[in-house]
Amino acid sequence: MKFEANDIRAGYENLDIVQDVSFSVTSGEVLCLLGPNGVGKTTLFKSLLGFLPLHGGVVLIDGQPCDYNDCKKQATLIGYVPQLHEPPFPFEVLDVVVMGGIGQMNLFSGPNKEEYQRAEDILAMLGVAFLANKVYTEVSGGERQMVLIARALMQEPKFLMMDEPTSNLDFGNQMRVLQQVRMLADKGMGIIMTSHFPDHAFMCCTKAAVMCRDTSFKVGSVEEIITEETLQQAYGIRVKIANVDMEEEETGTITTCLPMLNTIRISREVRQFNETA
Amino acid sequence: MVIEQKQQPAVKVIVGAGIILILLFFISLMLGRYQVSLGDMGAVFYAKILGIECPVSEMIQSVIWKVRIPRICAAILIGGALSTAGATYQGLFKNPMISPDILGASAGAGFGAAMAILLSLPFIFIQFSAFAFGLLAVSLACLICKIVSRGKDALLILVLSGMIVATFFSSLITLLKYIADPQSKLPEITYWLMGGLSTVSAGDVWMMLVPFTIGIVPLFLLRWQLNAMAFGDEEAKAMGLNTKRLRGIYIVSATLLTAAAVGVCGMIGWIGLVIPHLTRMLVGPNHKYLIPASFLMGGIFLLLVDDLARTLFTVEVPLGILTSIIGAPFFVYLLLKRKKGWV
Repeated sequence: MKFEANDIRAGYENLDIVQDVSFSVTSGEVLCLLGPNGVGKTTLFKSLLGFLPLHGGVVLIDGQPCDYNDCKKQATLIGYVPQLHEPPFPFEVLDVVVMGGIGQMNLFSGPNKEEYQRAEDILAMLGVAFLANKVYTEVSGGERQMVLIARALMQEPKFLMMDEPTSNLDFGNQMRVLQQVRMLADKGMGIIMTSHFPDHAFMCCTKAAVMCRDTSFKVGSVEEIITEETLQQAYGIRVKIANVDMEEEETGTITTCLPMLNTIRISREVRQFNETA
Repeated sequence: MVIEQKQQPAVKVIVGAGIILILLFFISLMLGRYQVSLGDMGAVFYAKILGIECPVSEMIQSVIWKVRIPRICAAILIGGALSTAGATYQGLFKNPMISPDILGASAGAGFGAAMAILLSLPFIFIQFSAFAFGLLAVSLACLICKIVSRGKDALLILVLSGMIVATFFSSLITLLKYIADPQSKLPEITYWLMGGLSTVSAGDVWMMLVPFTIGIVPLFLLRWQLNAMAFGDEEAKAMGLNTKRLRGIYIVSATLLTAAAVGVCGMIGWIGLVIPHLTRMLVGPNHKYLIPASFLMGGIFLLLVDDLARTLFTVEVPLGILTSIIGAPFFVYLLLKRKKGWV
């Protein structure tokens, strides 16, 4: 299946924040959306999900324009994984996951046994089956993120939109989330995610897009987009892209972004000075 | 397997609360200044069911049928209505600090009643006026929100609009009190605002049943969806819910319940705030169990408080005062006992 955004214009009230955004994602692809704070990534996300009215352009799924008024159908096409948050009530994890199927359920009945079973299976697939009966507000950030992914999967969507799935997570949990993103894509899910780390695009994505302050929008394969010039333009710092040879590992060569900061040199000199002193 | 085990406590609490409520119903029938024994009560019900001549005195029959049963039913319905509305609003607004009069229902109803009293309208009109102004206040709050937020749906603005409307109507109540005759009307208004069930008749209960039913049925039917709504509008929408329509249904239903309750018995605070908390501690935040359990717990609480109100002293204590006096320290106790998150 193919998710297409054509000439999207979006923003709040009469103010356009995002302009001329066009891209497409097919099943099995992962698009990583990068850009500095406040450039409108979240606005674009909210508009693509139908939370904000589009100011212009159209979103097509397999050539069919999205009908955002038909929430029920929309939920079977696009699953939304929100940024990590803490709800006010201590729901049980399984109840949170099973909630994802709510649009598909009979309006007046709660989830039945099969739906609870399916929720447990999804948690197991994500490797967090042990969370099922824990309290959502008491588990760790990484675990909560997995629960939110599981909830979106409960909708059985064709595409997933993940709003900074790695924000507020520790290093290990970030990598675990990215692994699951890759795993879902391998199973045929089309995924659009935002991130603050260009490295994440190299780790698990097929496509990348960068939004800059001058409202320009670039999209293409990861290697095409994540370049030293683009990153400097987007974030305003000097970045080198390096290939690190890891032949003894399975990964082979790793491509990574290295910020060129003089603090690196200074702090090293201070450390060396302290050692000799 | 695991799921069934986990859900059992909630079901047990609901069944237990139901049994307690039924027992309390019969115990409350016997309480009061006019003594009714267990035997008398049994005989009265027995005669009614079989349709035979009742051996108990007319006086006892009339105390049971005309005074105590309407009052007890009203206490259960109002307690249940207020705490169900409170649980709904708390889920909907994602905030456990919200009470059912958040959108100005109580203040509006209080003004309606005060005005009807001032105009010396008959009792039925006082209730009707209270109900109508309660609804008017909430509609005003929604209207202000709609104008101010310009089509975007903003929860915070709705709550603020509710506060504005509530403050406005509270001032109007004070104004009415100021111009009311201090010999006759002022005490009447003041007593009404304190809340009480001493004047409730069978007719009042029947009349309250209409808005009550219209309000409670959708809340019970759509209670599971509240779980998703408690995660916020956007997430609920992404899960496939028509959030705009659902939120409208929840607000209208909860408002009908609140206005119906305030119309019959005046302003009774704290129930809608404290009882959903207590219930959440017992059955968890899943609204599938929270809503029915809140209803039962609210009914039990108000019935108990009303029993106290009419038996504690020779003069009846106004209900609104008692619920607050009992509710406030009880709430502190709940806060002390709570675990992480709003259990």
